[in-house]
Amino acid sequence: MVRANRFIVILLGLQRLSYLIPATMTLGSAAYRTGALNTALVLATITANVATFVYVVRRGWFPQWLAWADVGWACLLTLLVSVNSAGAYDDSSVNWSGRMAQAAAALAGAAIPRIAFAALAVGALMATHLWADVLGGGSWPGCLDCLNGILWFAVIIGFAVRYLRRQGSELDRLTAERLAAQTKQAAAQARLEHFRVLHDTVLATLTVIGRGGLEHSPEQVRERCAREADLVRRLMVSDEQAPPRTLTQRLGQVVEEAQALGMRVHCHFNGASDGASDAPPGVAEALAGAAQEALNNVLLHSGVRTAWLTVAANGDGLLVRIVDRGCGFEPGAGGFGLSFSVAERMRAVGGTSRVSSAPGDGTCVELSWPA
Amino acid sequence: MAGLNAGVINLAVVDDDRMLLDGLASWLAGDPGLRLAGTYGGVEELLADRTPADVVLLDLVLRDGTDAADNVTRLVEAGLRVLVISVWLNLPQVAATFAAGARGYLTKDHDLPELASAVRTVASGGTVYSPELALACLNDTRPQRPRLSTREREVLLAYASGMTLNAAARHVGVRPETAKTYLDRVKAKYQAVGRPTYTKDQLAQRVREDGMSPVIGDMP
Repeated sequence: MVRANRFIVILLGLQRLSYLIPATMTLGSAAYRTGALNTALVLATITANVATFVYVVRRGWFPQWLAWADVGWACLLTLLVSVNSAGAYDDSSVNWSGRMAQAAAALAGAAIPRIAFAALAVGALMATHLWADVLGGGSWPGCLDCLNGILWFAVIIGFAVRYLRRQGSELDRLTAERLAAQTKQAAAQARLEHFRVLHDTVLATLTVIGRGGLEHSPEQVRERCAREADLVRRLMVSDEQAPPRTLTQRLGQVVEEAQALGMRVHCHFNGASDGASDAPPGVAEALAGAAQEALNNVLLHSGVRTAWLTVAANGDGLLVRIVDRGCGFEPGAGGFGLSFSVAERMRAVGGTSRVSSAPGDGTCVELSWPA
Repeated sequence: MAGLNAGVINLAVVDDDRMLLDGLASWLAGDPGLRLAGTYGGVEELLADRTPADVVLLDLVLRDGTDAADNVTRLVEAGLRVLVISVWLNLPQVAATFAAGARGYLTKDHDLPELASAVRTVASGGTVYSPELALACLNDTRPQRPRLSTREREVLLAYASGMTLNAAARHVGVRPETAKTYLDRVKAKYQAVGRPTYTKDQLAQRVREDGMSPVIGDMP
């Protein structure tokens, strides 16, 4: 986009330069009715053009008003120079206004975004030119030649600008896409790297310590813990982005709370990683709340402190199960209050719940969304 | 040899985590029914040692970079019963080890009684259907995975959710013996696809059914 604009600005600048150089040759020429007027017009045109291009080069592109101003100035030149040059018609070295009208048409084609307006500007240039020629009693071949130039410069430059910009923005888009893909890949790579490092070190150490049986080598354990605490600290510094709250994260929080109460919860969210991240916030909240309720019941009534929490895909929906291998109960015997509050939460978001249990055989609370 | 006494299960462990091996040894000392016959850093080392082992505990991720399913295949070919363990659940790898003939899978965070019970199940010729193994079968996306029936998947899902056999049967609405039959069928299907006799034609058909690209050149 920027490159396309710069290219067109240079092109239009060179076109004007090629027209202004011959115009300066007319300074001091005796061919005009009023030499001073011609001198004034040439100098004013050169000054305006230099100012314009300095402004545009700084800014990057022509503002639309500048194109209209240029068209207006070209129309004025067409009338004044044609009348002043008294019988020296278009295309001659004397009447330099025809060339300037062509340059203005090219600028209008480039810098007026709406094609209808650009056409209006070009029409104004052509009409003025025709009028000046009629006033001056000009020759038709020369007049048509100049009109032809005005029309086609506008068309060619207008087309070139739009084409280059389309290509440019396409190129910009592809570049941005490639950059985004590279960034994403790098992030995934970094995650994978973290993961691998954690697997080989912290996870292995914690697992072994968690299982016990290391009482005979406290020094070894202490050393390894210290080393890995350092590692985790380093990883935390390099990983600053916090992802949004998904069902998985909400459930993770519920599990943490249950663990804080002394429970052991085996979690498996692998079954529905996509669905779990896409669940609407209200649904995630309801599922997490119901899961918390179910885990509380395991703690209060099952007689065991171990539970399983799994999330699985269920068609397009989600299936969350909270399972224990505790004492169970006779479904329908009541007294739990479990079915009611869990079912109520699920119904509110268009889901259902089901409790299956038998005395001595554990309990499963199943949450499905949608119903 | 004392280790070959009736009723004592000889355990060989292939793992490269020194600390885990130490912990395991002091642990097993507390269980008279289990004997640690040897610890090894890799499968090659174990096979070279020719220690009589009733059950091999094999780490899923070894630092020597060997493939878990290949390791299982080699141990099974040597006539050993393999129970796979790991700190981190890698579903496709676990499914591959099951197809290769592993008798089960456990994460390393299980308590000793659980591990001991799993080892006894394997030693007596059984299969340990842990929630993690059930999960691995359910989420198996490898092209050579077996096709499971709706009922089989339901029982697996119940297992993956942490239910016992009885609870799983009740939840699905079948008798416990029937649920057990479904699990045995899953195992049979897995081991059928894991066998080298699984032909390219069968695999190609499977791949076509799944609508996946028919790249089967490197399959057995």
